[in-house]
Amino acid sequence: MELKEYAENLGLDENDFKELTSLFIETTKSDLEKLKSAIETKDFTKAKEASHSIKGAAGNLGFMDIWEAASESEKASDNQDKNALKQYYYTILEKTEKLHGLTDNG
Amino acid sequence: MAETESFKILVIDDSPVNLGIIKKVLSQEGYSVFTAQSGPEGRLAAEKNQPDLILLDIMMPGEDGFEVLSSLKKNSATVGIPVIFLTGVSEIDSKVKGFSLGAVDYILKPFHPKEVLARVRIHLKLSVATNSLITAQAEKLKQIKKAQTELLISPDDFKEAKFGVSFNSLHEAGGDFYDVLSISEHIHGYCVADFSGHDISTSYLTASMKALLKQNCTPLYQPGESMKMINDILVEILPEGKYLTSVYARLNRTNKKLTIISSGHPPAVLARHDKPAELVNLNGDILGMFKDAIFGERTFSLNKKDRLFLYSDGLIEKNKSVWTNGLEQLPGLCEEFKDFPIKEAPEQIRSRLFETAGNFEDDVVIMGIEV
Repeated sequence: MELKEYAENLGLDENDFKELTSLFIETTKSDLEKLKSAIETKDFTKAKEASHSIKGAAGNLGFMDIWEAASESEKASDNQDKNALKQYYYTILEKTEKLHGLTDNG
Repeated sequence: MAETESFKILVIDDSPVNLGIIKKVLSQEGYSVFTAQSGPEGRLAAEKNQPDLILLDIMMPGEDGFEVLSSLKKNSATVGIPVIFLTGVSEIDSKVKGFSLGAVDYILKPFHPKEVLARVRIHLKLSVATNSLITAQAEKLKQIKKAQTELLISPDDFKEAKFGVSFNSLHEAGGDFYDVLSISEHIHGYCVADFSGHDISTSYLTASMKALLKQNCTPLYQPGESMKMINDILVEILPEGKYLTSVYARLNRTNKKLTIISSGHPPAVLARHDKPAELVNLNGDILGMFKDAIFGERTFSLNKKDRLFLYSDGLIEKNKSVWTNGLEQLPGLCEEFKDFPIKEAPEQIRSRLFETAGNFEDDVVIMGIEV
């Protein structure tokens, strides 16, 4: 999906949306760093906090694939499932990188 | 708020992305948006900027949304600001808790910007409607108080009547009333009345009373006749349960004769210049209740410098101790201030009574008249 469509869905101007997406990428990268170190140290509380933060922002911007991955990541934190958390970390990272591409090209 | 000023919305959320989205959506609709990324920051911003509405995220690190909401509602500076909280779909209990803490609405996350906008609009409309209702009512009451005060004659505007008055209206639409009338060049009428209740209808009734006095207190009638005619009209026009007590004094400065008519009013104080002051107990029926009312009446021959004090029952009612206190002290105080100009004496008496008998809970009028 193009950024323009996301923007239209939310009733926002494309440039405004692009700006918000950049902000999202920036904060999500910082949350992903927290998530990574939480996975490494098996700090599942921190892992959940980081997942929750990503989930909230993604949901509100309409990035539903990231929202789903972050929701699963939150559940995996509750289950203290390190392997699952790693999976979701990759998924979120990958999809966020893709978004980055969209903002650069658009 | 002035019409040209835009509505101010405060958004408190730890997520910069959410703040960004809400800010964009609301700004493009003309709202001015302030943001805060933590609870304490948000509380300060609310107090300082006095927003028209607050959007508050519940799940925040440190001070969470519930704590913020609870503090906002405990602070008199922010208690009236409507708060809409933002909560995740999984946090079922938070809806109930949010409402119980005083929020007006909630928005589920993830939210759609259009929903945020719609809810903000609804609650601003509600808030504006409520506030304008309150402002309109307060304004109306102020106008009534102003109109009532304008009905009251000032000693400076009527110097030949040689009187002074202390009028203290505690209520927007008070039940106390006084008037001074010119019956002929040397004859003046003085009236202090007290309507039951302090509601809006009372203020219209005080205006009616003023008109009735003017129409009926003329050289053609004796004071008792005047009050009887006023009573008969009041019986017709007063709503059920409304009545008034009044004291009416007519002073003829040529022959120095004073007649007092009491309609269930507390005793007047007669303070002769060379004698101890005395209470004039006259009783009499209340005005506006019975057609065949009988009023207390007495006539005195006075000398120059003698004084009469009329007052409303706010001075002596409410509780037994004040009643006794006020009534016991009043004659003494009227004597004590006998060398004060008549224009100032009522105010002196009032402030002395306030000092000794405590605060009065009702409107108070004290009128002093000098021969």
